[in-house]
Amino acid sequence: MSRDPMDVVPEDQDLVFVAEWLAQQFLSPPDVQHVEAARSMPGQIALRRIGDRLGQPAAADALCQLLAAGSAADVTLAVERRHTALFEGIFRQRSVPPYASLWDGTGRLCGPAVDCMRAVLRDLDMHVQADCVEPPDHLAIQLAALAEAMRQRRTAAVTDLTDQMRVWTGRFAAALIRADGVGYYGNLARFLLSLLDRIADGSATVDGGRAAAAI
Amino acid sequence: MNTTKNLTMTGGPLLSKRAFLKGTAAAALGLSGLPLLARGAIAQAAPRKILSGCHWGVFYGKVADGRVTEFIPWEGDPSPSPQLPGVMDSIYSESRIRYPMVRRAWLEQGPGADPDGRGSGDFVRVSWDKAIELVAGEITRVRAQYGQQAVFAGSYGWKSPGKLHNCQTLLRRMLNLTGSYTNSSGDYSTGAAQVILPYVSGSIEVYEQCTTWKNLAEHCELMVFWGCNPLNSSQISWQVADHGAWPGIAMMKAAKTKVLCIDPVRTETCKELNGEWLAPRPQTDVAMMLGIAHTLYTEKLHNQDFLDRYTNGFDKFLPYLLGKTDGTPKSADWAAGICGLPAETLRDLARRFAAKRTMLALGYSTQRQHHGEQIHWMLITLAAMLGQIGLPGGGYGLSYHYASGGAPTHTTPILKAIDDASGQASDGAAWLSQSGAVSIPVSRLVETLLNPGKTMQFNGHEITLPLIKLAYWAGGNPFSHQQDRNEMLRAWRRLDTFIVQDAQWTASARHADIVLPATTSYERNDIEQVGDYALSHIVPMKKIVDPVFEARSDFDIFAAIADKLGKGYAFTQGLSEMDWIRGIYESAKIESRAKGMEMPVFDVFWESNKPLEFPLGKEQADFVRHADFRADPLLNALGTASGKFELYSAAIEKYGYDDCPPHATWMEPVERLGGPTARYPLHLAANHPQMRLHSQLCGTVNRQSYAIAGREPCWMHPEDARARGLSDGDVVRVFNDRGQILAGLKITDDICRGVIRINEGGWFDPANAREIGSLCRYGDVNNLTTGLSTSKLAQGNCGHTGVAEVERFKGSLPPVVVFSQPA
Repeated sequence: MSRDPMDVVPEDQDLVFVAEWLAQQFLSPPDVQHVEAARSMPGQIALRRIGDRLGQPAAADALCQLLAAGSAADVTLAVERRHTALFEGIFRQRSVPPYASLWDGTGRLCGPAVDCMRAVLRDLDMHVQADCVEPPDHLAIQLAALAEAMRQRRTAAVTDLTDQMRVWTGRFAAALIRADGVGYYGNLARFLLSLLDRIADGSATVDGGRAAAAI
Repeated sequence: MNTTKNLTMTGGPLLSKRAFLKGTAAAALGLSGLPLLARGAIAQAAPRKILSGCHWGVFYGKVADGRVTEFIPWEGDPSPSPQLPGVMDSIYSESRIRYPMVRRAWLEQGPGADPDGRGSGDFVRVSWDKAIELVAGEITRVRAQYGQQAVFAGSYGWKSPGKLHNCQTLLRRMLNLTGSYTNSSGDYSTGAAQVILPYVSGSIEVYEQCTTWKNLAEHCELMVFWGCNPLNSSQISWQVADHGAWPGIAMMKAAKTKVLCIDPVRTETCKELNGEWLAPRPQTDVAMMLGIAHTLYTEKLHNQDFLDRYTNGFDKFLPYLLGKTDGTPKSADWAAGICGLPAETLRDLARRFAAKRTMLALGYSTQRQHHGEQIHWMLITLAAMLGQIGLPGGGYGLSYHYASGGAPTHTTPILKAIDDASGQASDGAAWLSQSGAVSIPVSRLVETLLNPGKTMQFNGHEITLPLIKLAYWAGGNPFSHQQDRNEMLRAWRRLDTFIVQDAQWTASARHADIVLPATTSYERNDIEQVGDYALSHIVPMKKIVDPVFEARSDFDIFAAIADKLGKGYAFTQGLSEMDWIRGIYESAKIESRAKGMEMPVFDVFWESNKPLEFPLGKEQADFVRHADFRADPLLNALGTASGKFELYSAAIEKYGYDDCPPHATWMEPVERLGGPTARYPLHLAANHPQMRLHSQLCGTVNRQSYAIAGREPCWMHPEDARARGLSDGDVVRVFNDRGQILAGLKITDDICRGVIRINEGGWFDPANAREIGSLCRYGDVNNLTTGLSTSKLAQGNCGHTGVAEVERFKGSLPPVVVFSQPA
């Protein structure tokens, strides 16, 4: 992977932030403090701004309404249930595993996508923290790596990783939207697709017109 | 993209969105650093081949960058199992349990909440600390409220091999150190035979060495595989498979030994040896054997000298055989009417058996039926009448199909194993140990849950069935191996708590209240011997990859629970995993020295990345079962009351069981093909599968090699299919009064008419988990088999007793969901 110091990614701290925020959401359900923060006025404004930034105002609206419906404790429980059923659960009709390996055609966990991600992390001079038990092809780790690549202004790395992610996240997000509809994670799936689109658009600008979609 | 343009937010002040997101959104949404990545690259490890072992054999795990990419058979394996890809897949299959989970109703409402909801999948992920606290707390609560016996730890199943991480021993170790529990005795493989054989031949026999294949190739003239298929079930061993059956079969093939296979299925072994195939009606083996025995006697082909010198009680069996006690001579004509083979065939078999040096090789499946005790007893009676027991190439063998029985035993020390802290000796089969406050026959848990306080006869004594409120299962899948699934579901509702510790989301795990993710044996270190009978090597079972997700080793899990209950040190004895393994090895090293061998020091052994081989003596290569008894029946007396083969048992007579008379006897099973009580026209053969180990590996890539329309295959004879208008590949509904399943139809003339084959071990996948009797979408045959016991003597399971009907499935086909493949 290129380490050309002349590579330039447009500084886009917004997208770095959104990628990391989405990583957090997919990694584990928000606890009650996070839900309370997101229900607050600044939190709601932030969510709507994310929605605007990604061109997904309706999804942001839905998230805001969902987070405001009922007590913070009830909302936390509901979101936690959905996270377990969708990402930690065991039933096909409800489970949408957030691992590249299960969507890239190899058919099992910890497939070649893990090797690819280890290479990406090495290239970024990063590693997965020891207390994280997820393999590096977990969506959250890919998003975190993408954020880091953007932070390091590594155009080629951003491009490669975005390409890798778009191989599988299209079908993953579609399945997630089918499973969760306008629920919390269904709307995050819409955010995810838009985020990758926007990052790809940005990289394409630098690289001179790379194909916009690989879904 | 224009990220610097100032925009107006509705209802708010003019703000730079970018500035906003950069500056305040993180705080507004509570995001304060993502704890995922850290600075510094981890060097890529060089690719390696790491030696280990499993039920399917010795192998190398090929590892690249911390990820296993291939399991490669050890070069010393004479016939590697084709199941090995599924073994590797068990690490990474989607059915892997990733985190500790608790059923929501149980967590929120307490033990016993919404028992009907088990299996419906509403789990909550919890931390390990929380999970350990819940388990320890529940064990304590149940013991305090209901007594020690209310915790059931008779956890049974094939787990994984290894002398340290024997999860069932470790479970009992933890419970023995902290109190007691209800245990189970016996097993599902040989539940009937292992109880009756000590009365007949003085030992359980079914797990003991047979006359070797080499000896058979040199001396046997007629090899009879009776419900016995080594080329299927010897793929696996309880320890690490040696696959010695393959060179054994090859020797017989080279010797052109005449082979006869008595089986409803034309087996792999039958085909390989170009055997003659006879297919009597299932469950009529005793009648068939009696018909042969009657011919032997009436044509004076029996060996009276052998009966006189080496057996006891033939005089009491003979009147039954001749019909003097019940008015029914057990003639070939009488037997033909029951077993469906022509009488002349039975007479011919008697003559051939007597004229040739004949080995009668009987499989375990034959005794997993109602009154299953009688089959092994009758076979030994028949073999005794032939008088070839103890002669080269003749007699009987009860393990030729299992774990390569007949592969010669090497001179080796026996590896000790971690014990269950009961204070009892741990030599021999761990699952036959008897610790615990109470012990029930292993297949009687359902009956126990439904009938606490009831008394049950078992092997000459009476058991009062305990009240059980908590069942803890490790390394087993009762929602596969227990018969009559719907009766089981009713019984399971009596439990407050069901804990499952496993690597895979089996049907049992799905029906659990607390699920603990265990490592596979490829994510931890252990040590084991190669070959249940051969004992040819000691193999370092080296960790191939680090534990995936939040899986922990069984040793670590039980140590943590024991620690929570105040017995952590007693459990571990302050020793690490490698300390234990080293100790086990060094104990064997001392034993080997007493046998004139010097094993390398542990570190050399461990780092060699090779199995340690032990020598094979000429005598062992030519071993003949019971030859020593035949040579000197006084000096080498059998362990029976008389020291001889007991063809009539005074002890069993005293028990007075109406379902287990004191000599081998034909008794109608509760239902059978063509029998007087059968309500359905097809017999169910619940065979051992070819591409998995019972239910192990059902959730792996191996399933792609056999599933039909995504379901468990159902074999059917072409004429039976034609009569029902069925076609190859149809999805069919198989049903009887006990349950209903879907299956994929395979039409083949490798199965006899009137019999369908649906392998045991398919994962239970109820269409509606809350509904008892719901359609199983994948094809778990134990929805259809009976939960009755074999008899009051052994209380074994009847996994081969069942009749059913088959029809094309109509309506909207429900998807199989038990394997959690992505959409």
